[in-house]
Parts: sequence; C-alpha cells; structure tokens
Amino acid sequence: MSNSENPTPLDNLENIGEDVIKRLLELIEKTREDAYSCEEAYALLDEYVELVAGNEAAAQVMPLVERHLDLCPDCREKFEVLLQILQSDEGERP
Amino acid sequence: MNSNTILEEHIVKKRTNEEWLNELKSDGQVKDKALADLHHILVSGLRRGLLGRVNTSAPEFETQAEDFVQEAMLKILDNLDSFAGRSLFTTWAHKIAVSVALTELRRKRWQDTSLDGMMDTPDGVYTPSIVADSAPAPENATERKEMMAHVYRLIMEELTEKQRTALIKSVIQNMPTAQVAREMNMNPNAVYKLLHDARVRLKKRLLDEGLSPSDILSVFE
Ligand SMILES: [Zn+2]
Repeated sequence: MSNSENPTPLDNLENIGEDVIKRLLELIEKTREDAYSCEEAYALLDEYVELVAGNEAAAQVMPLVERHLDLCPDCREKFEVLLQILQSDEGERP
Repeated sequence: MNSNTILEEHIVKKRTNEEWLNELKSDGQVKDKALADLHHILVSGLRRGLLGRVNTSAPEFETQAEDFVQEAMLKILDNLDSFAGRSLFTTWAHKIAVSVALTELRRKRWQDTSLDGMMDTPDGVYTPSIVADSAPAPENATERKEMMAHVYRLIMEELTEKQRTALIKSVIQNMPTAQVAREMNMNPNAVYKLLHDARVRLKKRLLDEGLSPSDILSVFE
C-alpha cells in the first residue's frame, strides 16, 4: 500500500483545512516523550476513574494517565463511559 | 434512576474485593451466584454508561449488551489473577466490559459513518474538535499559508512512511485509532505508539528550528 496506489490527502494540500493543522499542532504541543501507551493507561484506568469519581486530585496523582487521555480519544471515551457508570450508581461508588 | 427497579428484581449481594475473587474462583452455587451478580452489575453498568452514546432503550441494545457482557465475563475470569486490587473489583470489571463494548461499537459506528460519508456524522463523535472555528483573519493569511506549508513539509520529510500513513488517517481523515489499526493491520496500541512517535519527531524538529507548536498556533488565532 504505497502512496502512489492510494493517494492521500497530502497529495492535495488545498484540501486540508487550517482546522486540521491546528488540531495537529495542539496534539504536538501536548506530546511529551515520557508518555504512557494505551496499555499503560488502560491498566491504571479503573484506579484513575475512582479518583475522579471521588473528587480526588486524579490529575496530580496520576498525571501520565491524564495526559494520555488528553491525547487519545479512544481511551478518553472508555474513561468517560466508566465515569458515567460510577457516577450513576451510588452503590458502586468507591 | 431505573437501576433501582432493576435491583428489585435481582438482589445483588455486597462483596468485598476478596469475596469477589474467592467466590468467582470457587465452585457450585457460590460461583453461580457470583457470576449471576457480576453479569447483572455489568449489564446494568453498560446501560447507564452508554446512555447518551447509543440508543440504550432500543430492543437490540439488550442483545448487544448481553453479547458484550458475555465476552467481558470470559476475559474477567481469565484475568482474575491480574487484578491488582487497587480499585473496586466491580470498577475493574466494568472497565473490561466498557472496553469490549466500545471496541465493538466503534467498529460498527465507523462502518456506518463511512457509508454515510465522513462529513456527515450526526452525533459529532468523529468531527474534529476545532471545526467551524473562527473565520480566517485576512491580515496574516500569508503567514498562515506559509506555516501550513511548512508543517506539511515536515510531515513529508521527518516521518517514516508508516508514521505518515497513521498520522494522515488519524488526524487528517479523523479516523478512530481502532479503524486505523484495522486498515494498517496493526493493533491499536501499536498505532497509538506510532502516532506518539510521529508527534515527538515533529515536535523535536519544530523545536530544533526554534519554533514551538504554541508559537505556530498563535499565527492561526
Ligand atoms: Zn490510548
């Protein structure tokens, strides 16, 4: 699957909007070398979500999870659904 | 919440983490009751957690949720030993059920939205967060154009072909990571890593040139 067989939008710069470049730059800005992978963030997600649900300073306790969630929409969605589960059931709150 | 009405039909025993683990690892009625309770907790959790994302009152949701939870329960039972006990057992179990459910739903959602065309996503899940932003200010139009051209050049020069492909799919086509992974025949974690490395390289190069991403962003404001 080379670029010549499968032309990418980069071949036509006119088609790419400023919004895309801004989004990319914002992602780059948040990127640090010592970032967690999805696996590392996922492993800590249950602990992290309990901190958030309990109004603890989750971002300070687990900054690398927080940062990963800022950069990874898939993991963020897992977090949001999980938080909604905890927050919608008094009985299951930590 | 309707979880109360559900709890009336099915009384879930309160358990500590240790009780959960012991009972799920035991046999007979004790295990069966623990499995039934866990199943109930997870289905109820998905119904609450996915509320607002999918139509949880549609009849097919029950079947779907049932499938997700079945798959999640197998994973949970297979991985009991990896539970570190740093959260409630139920939170850990919900995490696995949510992961199974979202992976499946994303696959379906992307297929559906791809058919409709990428620009037409009514729920807005895959629309860029910054679309419909401010109209360009004419005074620095040239500067913006140059900056954009520069960023494109970096993407072409600095990244490996694999990194570039992933970045184009993820950022430019706004494709979910799981879908990028399928199209590139990789697992999603590896795609995340690829994207991360690509961003690190671009950031390094920009910093080497004395540019910070926020400097460039300010040109677009
Ligand atoms: Zn992730």
